[in-house]
Amino acid sequence: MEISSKSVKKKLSFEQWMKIAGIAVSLLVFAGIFTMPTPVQMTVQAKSSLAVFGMVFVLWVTQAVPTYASALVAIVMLVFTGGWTQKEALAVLGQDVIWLMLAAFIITSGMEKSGFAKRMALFIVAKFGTTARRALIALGVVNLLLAFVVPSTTARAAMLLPICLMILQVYQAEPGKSNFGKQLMIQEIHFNNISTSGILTATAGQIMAVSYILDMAEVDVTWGQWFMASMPIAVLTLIASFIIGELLFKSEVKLPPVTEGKSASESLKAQLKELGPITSTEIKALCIFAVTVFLWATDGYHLDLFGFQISLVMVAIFASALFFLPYIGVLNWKETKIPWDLMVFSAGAYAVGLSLDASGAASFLLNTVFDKFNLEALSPFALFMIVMFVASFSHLVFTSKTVRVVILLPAIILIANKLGVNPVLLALPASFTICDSITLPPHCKPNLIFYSTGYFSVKDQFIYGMLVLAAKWLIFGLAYFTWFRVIGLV
Amino acid sequence: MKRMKQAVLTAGILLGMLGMPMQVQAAEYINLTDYTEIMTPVNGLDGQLEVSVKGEAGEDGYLYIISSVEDMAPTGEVTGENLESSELEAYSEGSVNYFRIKVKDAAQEASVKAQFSCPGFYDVKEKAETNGSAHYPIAYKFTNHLASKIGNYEVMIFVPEGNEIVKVSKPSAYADYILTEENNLRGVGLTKGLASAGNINLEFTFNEPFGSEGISKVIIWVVCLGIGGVVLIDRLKKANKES
Repeated sequence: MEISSKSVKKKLSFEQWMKIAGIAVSLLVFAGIFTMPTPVQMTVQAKSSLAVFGMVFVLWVTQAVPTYASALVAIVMLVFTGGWTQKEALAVLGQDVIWLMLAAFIITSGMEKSGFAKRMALFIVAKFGTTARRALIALGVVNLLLAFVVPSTTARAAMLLPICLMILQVYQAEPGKSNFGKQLMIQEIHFNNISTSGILTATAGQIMAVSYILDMAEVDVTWGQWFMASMPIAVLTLIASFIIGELLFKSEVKLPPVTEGKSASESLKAQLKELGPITSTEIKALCIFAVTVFLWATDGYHLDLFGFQISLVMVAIFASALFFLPYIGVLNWKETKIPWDLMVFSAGAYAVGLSLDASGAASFLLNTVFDKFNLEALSPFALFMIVMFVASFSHLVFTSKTVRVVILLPAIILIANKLGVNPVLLALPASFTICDSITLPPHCKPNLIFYSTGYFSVKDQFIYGMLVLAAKWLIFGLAYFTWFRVIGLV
Repeated sequence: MKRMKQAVLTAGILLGMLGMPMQVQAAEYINLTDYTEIMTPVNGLDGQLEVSVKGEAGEDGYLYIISSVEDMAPTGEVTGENLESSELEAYSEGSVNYFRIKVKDAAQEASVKAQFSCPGFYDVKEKAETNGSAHYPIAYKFTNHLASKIGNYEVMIFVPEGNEIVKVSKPSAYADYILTEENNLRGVGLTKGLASAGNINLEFTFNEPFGSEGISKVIIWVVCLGIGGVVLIDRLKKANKES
């Protein structure tokens, strides 16, 4: 008897629906805002800016079109609708944040090509990762140290992925089943993102945030100040992440199994040995990095040290120039991996954000929303905790760090100014949450890189991530009364 | 004859010199607390400026209104408190023109409110941008030519009915200007204290709104719904095919 096979139609996932409907919804949003009667407290320019923002926001969230395409659409529409002028919109590409990103990718390429970053990673893990728990800790520390020298979360993720996979293979951890595998992979996401928050230059979104703080609050946050304020929070959060991971995914292995092959330690040592002695290329890269990190770390003291100031971006451009110079450098242009799609996206996103502010649209929205709440009646601490909560968990809505920065930072600074609160008290800690996009795979590239290994599910990542962010929020509350007072932020 | 001419010339010079200090002292020692200007469109392209001034008069016993708009001329009734007359007199000091009114008791605070016609105030040429629609620009400058500061200067310029404020260039910060609507007229203005010789610049563009009514609104919706609909159907078909 033949059994007729019914073709089973796969249900479309939520992400697929977003891609299908994204363009249509974005156009509806644009039409809805652009054609609405202009509110009294708004200029036509602000309304146009808001309409364009609404449109591209939907495109970014739904990923219905590539982000670089939507960024270019944003610039064109801003100018055509009068949301911003051509001169101002195009000038964004010359902003220091864009140059800093460009330089950061050149530095990353130099690091990768020289092999220095890989050597450092292998060395630390071979020395300190000989048990499951030690492996977890060692990988975390490597991630943290790499954040100082590799200003790209994606590059660090790509660099550490083979090492993580190798360790899991040695421990015979099965994808989707091994708790050790789940904890290791998800923890790498946490360490990648959260350690990034401790170092200003470790991601472009943070540099953009500092730029907003300077433009709007007229406070220049130095690399050192950021480090002092944020790194303790980051370290405590990482400890919380480790503890929560141990509780959620109790490892089924404690030591690497003894097989005919080598143990994890021996494998790693063998790989390290295969690298051979440190090469002249690595030494050059090491020297350039040492100078770069030194200049970034001391940017509040340049005048005292050298008699002149070198800005963060000029340090980065200087370092990237060194990478290309003969005799000193290790790179040529063909070897340089600059994701121009990301650069264009950043320019477009930044333009939209700046136009929202320049046109008054952001202020109008903020005034409208916060007029509904009695923020004036809140104590400074309650206000601080509410802002930190919104800043951190807003990543659930905003998938892009850049988008979060361009929306939240100006809004937070405006709130602070309106309430007579030091804007830096709210904006700077809020900036430490930029990298809190650890809950779902699409939220950033490192998430996707580690998720693609199949070692954990979306639910695993979501629950683990939410608990860690809740812990971080509580740590912020603790810091308000302790560390932030010590460093003078409160 | 020659001596007489010399005598007349000398007398004239002396009299002129005697007269000058009186002119220099005019508009000095005035303490103005409030100075408000409201420009409203009338008769199409003309404007009507309502000026309200409040403060203590100077030693010469006058309250002064600065002639801030070209060809502005008093119209209608002059009202106020502690005023000796109800008529403004035109007055000039160098290249600066004023209107002034005598105050009854110079030791007391006085106030005056007057209307002025400003022909052709809204008769401005459309200015095209590098991209996008052309709009009507207004650049309004007020300089405090008085010897003392103005405690609170406020200006509000309304645009013709059916028009909206497109963009405010000066001041650039949203927090520094005010957008309002009265009697179906949209307006933009600002308020600040002005030191002597201080000035404010209010520059903005206005025009009839594009897209929020009429045929333009229909076109935008048709285009957006059309493109959105086509893309949605196409992507649904592709997704169903793949699944």
